[in-house]
Amino acid sequence: MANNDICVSVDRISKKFSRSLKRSFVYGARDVGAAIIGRAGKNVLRPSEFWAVRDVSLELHRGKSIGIVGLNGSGKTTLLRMISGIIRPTLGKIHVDGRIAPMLALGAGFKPVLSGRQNIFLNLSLLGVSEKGIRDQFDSIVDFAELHESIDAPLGTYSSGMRGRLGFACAVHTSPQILVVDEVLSVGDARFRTKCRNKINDLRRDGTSLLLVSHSSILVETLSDECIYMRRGKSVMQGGPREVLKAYDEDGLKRVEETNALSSSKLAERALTHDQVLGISSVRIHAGDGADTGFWMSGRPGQLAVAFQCATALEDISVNLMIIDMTHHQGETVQFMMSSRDIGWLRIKPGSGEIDLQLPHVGLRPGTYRIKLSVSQSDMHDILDVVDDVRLVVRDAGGVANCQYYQPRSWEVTGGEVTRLDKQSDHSTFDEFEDV
Amino acid sequence: MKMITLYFLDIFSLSWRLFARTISAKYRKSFLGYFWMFAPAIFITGGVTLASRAGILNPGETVLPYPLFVFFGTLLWLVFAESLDVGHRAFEGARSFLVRVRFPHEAIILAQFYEVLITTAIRLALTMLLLLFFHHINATALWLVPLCFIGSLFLGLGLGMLLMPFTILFEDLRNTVKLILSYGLFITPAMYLPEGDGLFATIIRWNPVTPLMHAARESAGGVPLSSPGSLMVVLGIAFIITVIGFTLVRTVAPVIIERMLMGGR
Repeated sequence: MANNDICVSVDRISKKFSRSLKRSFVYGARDVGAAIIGRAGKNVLRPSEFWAVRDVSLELHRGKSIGIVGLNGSGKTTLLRMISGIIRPTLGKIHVDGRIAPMLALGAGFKPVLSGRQNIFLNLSLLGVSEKGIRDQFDSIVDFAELHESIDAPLGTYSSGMRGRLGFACAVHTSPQILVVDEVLSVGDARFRTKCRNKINDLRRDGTSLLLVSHSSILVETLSDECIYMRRGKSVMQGGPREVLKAYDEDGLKRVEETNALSSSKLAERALTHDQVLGISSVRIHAGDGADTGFWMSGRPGQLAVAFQCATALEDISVNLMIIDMTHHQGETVQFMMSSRDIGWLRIKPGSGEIDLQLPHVGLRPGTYRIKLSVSQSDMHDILDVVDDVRLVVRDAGGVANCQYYQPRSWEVTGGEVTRLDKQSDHSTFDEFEDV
Repeated sequence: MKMITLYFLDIFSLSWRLFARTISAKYRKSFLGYFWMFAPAIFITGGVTLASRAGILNPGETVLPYPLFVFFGTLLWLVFAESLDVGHRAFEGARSFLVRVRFPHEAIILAQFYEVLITTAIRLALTMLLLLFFHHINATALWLVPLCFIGSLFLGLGLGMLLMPFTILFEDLRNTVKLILSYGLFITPAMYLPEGDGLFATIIRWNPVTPLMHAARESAGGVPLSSPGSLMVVLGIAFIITVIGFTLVRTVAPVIIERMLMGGR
């Protein structure tokens, strides 16, 4: 008998998937057969299958929240889908007590030709709200979504922001006992996002539990009471958010170091081919104090050293750097720097050389990035050499929670009887975070 | 008991919403609307009637005036063919939200079924009117013709639900079914009555829709049923496979949804 205080209990669930699509359909047909004769899933993998989730257990108490972190493909979303009841676990049991508002399903069933009003009814019916329940909540939903004028217009005429708002408004008005959030707090404009955050906080104050999946440590740390770190389908660590996130971040850094070690050994082994005049031989990342740390810290100085081999004397050279986000908006270029634009063209003599990029303050927010580095020549930007798989980790130094980027700043008292109470506070948080 | 009642109430209200969703979406894009329910039957009837007048097609002795005979057969086939597609269309059409929320899956089948049910009712009404104007209606026809239509409806629905898990998984099977639906009319006695023991005649004889067509036309024509036994068998089968099909869909839905997730889109 489940404890009344527990609203989601997951008991050693596993889920297997097939890597090959063709096979997966054959297995699907067999599973259909197995389901008909009522045979349960088996604990063995068939060829090309793998465990997307393996032996994961968790208990979510009423009013509490659990954050799940892990890289892409670590089984987080699969786990949420199983908890939301969309797919069935191969092994293990899930018990859910209460209505789930799955934020993975914002606007499920929305039909563009129908009006906003009809879509509200449709969406909420799908989410399991009765007709009466919908009528009771209707005005409040329209209020929340701020769609008074256009509620009778076809959904097709809405902007994507309006649709997102309507989807979110519907989801939070199902009077859920459990909120399942999968990285989708990015609805509408900044003001509406704040409204969403506050609405979620309101629900939580009223005792709604929260299951949150994210690869952002900061979001998880601020929102959850307990944290689970998933790697390759397994729950490798479970406990207080601080310890778990520390392990998660450390693992992330280790993985980046491994990737970089591999690519730098490849770089070092590379010799100039006969038609190549310049080749990058190493890329090193420092956190400003000289040691080859392999990461930067947000708000602190950062350095990147590029060493190269050059066969002939070259004019009009530029070193270019593109930094691509791999955490927040995957694939988005967040920085593009050209030495020629900053300090003019470089002239290089044959032999080896090195160029350092110095950042007084790393402006990037914490996360993992990919650096694409190239050396080009002249206005036409003929590419002489390019390295595009350098991984960069930016760690949190305490000043960028809820920020898009780090803003260098200082505070000064310029008048009146104002004194700073705790001179050390700024530094102590920095030190604390350095431990993380 | 209250829980079960609530559960069914939920399913019905949800399926009604979903039905309203497809209907208003469908007819917003169409000017001729209901005309499309009869268009195939009208064209086929017109075509084969001309063919038989020209002596190309020799249907033999029919219990009804020939155009009416064809119209009856074709409509019964259309009812069967459309309801055969209900299961597949329901799941394919709901793909986008099947993979995102959990809801009673019976609702999407029901929603699709309402559509076919309405189409069938309208077709039936028109058939009866035609019978009234161009022939005459007797008491048997009043209940036996609707029964045949309903039998055809459930036969297709049940068969479609039994096939659905596999047509969703395998495109090849889906294409085979589509092919049968497009040309299957020619292996029914919709346009002529095959005679003898040839392969073709045997296929038509074993076609599950055949007893329904015969019974509907014979009762409409006011002649005694030639094989009431096979009509009973087909009606029984239709009922049983509908129940089995519904249970099957309930059981295998998670497996199918999982493959939908993997199949992308």
